[in-house]
Amino acid sequence: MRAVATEFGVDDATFDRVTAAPRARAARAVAQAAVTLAGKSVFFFPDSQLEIPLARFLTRECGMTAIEVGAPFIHKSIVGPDLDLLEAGPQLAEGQDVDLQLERCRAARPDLTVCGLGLANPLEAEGLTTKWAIELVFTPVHFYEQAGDLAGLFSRPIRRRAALRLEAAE
Amino acid sequence: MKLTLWTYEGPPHVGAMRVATAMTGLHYVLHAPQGDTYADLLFTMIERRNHRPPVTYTTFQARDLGADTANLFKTAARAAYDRFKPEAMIVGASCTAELIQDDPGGMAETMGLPIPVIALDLPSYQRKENFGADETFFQITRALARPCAKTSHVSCNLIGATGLGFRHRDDVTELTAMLSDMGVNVNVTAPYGASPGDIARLGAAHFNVLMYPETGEAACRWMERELGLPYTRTVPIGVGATRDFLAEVGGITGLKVQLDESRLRQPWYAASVDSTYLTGKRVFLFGDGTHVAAAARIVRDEMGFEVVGLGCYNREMARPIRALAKEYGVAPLITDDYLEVEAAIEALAPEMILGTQMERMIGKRLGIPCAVISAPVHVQDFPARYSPQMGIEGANVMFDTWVHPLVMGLEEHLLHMFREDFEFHDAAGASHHGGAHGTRDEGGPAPQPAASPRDISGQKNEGIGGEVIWLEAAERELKKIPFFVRGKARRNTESFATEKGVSQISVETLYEAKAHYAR
Repeated sequence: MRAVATEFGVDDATFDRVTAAPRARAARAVAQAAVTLAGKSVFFFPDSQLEIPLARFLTRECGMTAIEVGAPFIHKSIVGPDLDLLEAGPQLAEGQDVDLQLERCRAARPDLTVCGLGLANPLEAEGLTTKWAIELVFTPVHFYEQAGDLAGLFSRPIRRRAALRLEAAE
Repeated sequence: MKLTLWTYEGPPHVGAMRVATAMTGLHYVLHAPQGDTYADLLFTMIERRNHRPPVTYTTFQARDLGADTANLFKTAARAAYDRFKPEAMIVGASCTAELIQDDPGGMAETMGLPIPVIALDLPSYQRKENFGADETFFQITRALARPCAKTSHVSCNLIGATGLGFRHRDDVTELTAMLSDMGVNVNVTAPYGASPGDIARLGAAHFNVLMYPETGEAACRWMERELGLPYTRTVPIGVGATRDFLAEVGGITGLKVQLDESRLRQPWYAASVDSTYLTGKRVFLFGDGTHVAAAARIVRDEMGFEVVGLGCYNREMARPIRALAKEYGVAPLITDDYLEVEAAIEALAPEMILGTQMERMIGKRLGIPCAVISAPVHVQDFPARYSPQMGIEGANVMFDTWVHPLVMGLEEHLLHMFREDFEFHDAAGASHHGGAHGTRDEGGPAPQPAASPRDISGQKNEGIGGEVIWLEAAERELKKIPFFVRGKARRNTESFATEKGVSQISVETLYEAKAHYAR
């Protein structure tokens, strides 16, 4: 929103006046999911091409730590600004060598792995919690009003894993 | 090949993946661009497999095309061998990679890997998924199976079950138990669960059970010729077919036919009075040739329905399905275009569809109940519970699955009696659909001058010539007929009127037609 405002010469006062309320709402909504997400680690396999902006969101606004951010193709002129906001630390990977990435992922044992549908069930079966990336393409996740939903998409798998109990109650 | 929104079968390399994924100790190196790796999710999501398919993709990209894609293949094949240490490897190209003509088979041969490497030559632009699976399993069998000493006890191989098959997992369990009751052991089940080492000892069996001709017939023919293994022709889906199958096994082995019928409920359920309402329900069948042929027999002989149309999407089965359609006195529909299937269903206006997931979608759109009998599959076709199609339990399962989508017998009467009631009036959705959503337009509303495009018989009306007019009193009378038979009543009345050369339908015509079609 800020980028759009700057591009069209909207002054800061107007921008703040218009966006303050929804921004606060979004922050409140995100905060609920962030309780689950804060302090946890996340690993991205290349899939949706949204990996870099998502990593930016999860690290800056939800308190997560990114271990690796893989993207099928990194288009610098599009995700450049997002890339700049990403803290140094996570390994960036472009393209696909899935077996090597799987090795790194298994070694890192992240709290949440964002990956394609082909990997999600196999990784869950290995005990890793996953979020399938394609859902992010089908779900409206943009702008302030959807920010809470976006954060919720990532916290749900973690809450679900914690909720399922199949052992005997004793 | 053509571009389409939905397709019944994928390209042949998906068939090869179905074989590779079903097996153990086998690895598939597939020359394919990055995007083709999405085929993995067919297995991990639809079938909920907890392992990735044993497939290494070379994942070449656009920028590799000017350079050395062949070397990329060799590197990938070598890395796959080192990482997975398979007992055998199959190599081939996806539809996209076929175009760059790198010859994966030839290249793999020159690499000197210490395991059998089987080259697949699958013509992506002429053939499809089922052929791909059949051919792949045949090539694996031809490369690995050798004549060997027979097992001392009578045994068979179960041939044809693959990944992503319709209830293959449970059919294998059912047949294994059923054959064991008769004193026949299972030597090897393949491709499902078999390793290359198991393939080598296929010849130790006394005969083959060809479970699914779509994916196992080429291998069975080869084994009959080269290893002297006879194979069964009857696919044991349905009560009658199960009995025929066991008789066939008895003929091959000389064993006495034994069938434990203590769990067989289908025949009594079909004979019991509640099933009377099933009599003559008009059913349309579509799917792979094998499942359609088996289902047609059950529909007519074991459920007392009427077959009003049938067909298959795999043209390898076109000939037997045409013959079958002739036997049932209906027109065969051999097509892999779901729009043609939809048009046929719309024209026939059946009371029920037995089809694939595609027909389930078509049924939803047209408001016709549908049960799934064949691949292509959806995640719901891999139920957590035991749910075979073959043998005794298969017959029970099909009775339940085919009856549940229908409105039940007594329910029909009650709906008629209470049709003016607020809960049951025409605009209220079916109670078992949650009520709130969807109006009942199965039979369409009472005839309107401008019929909605979803209106089945509206279109039929135009087909007849669009000249038959419903008088207002007749329209009101038609509305009294329950929604789920109203479409049929209207269609029958219209064709009756056309036949008699009547251009206006009165209440009189409506009841004349009712008497005419009474059965």
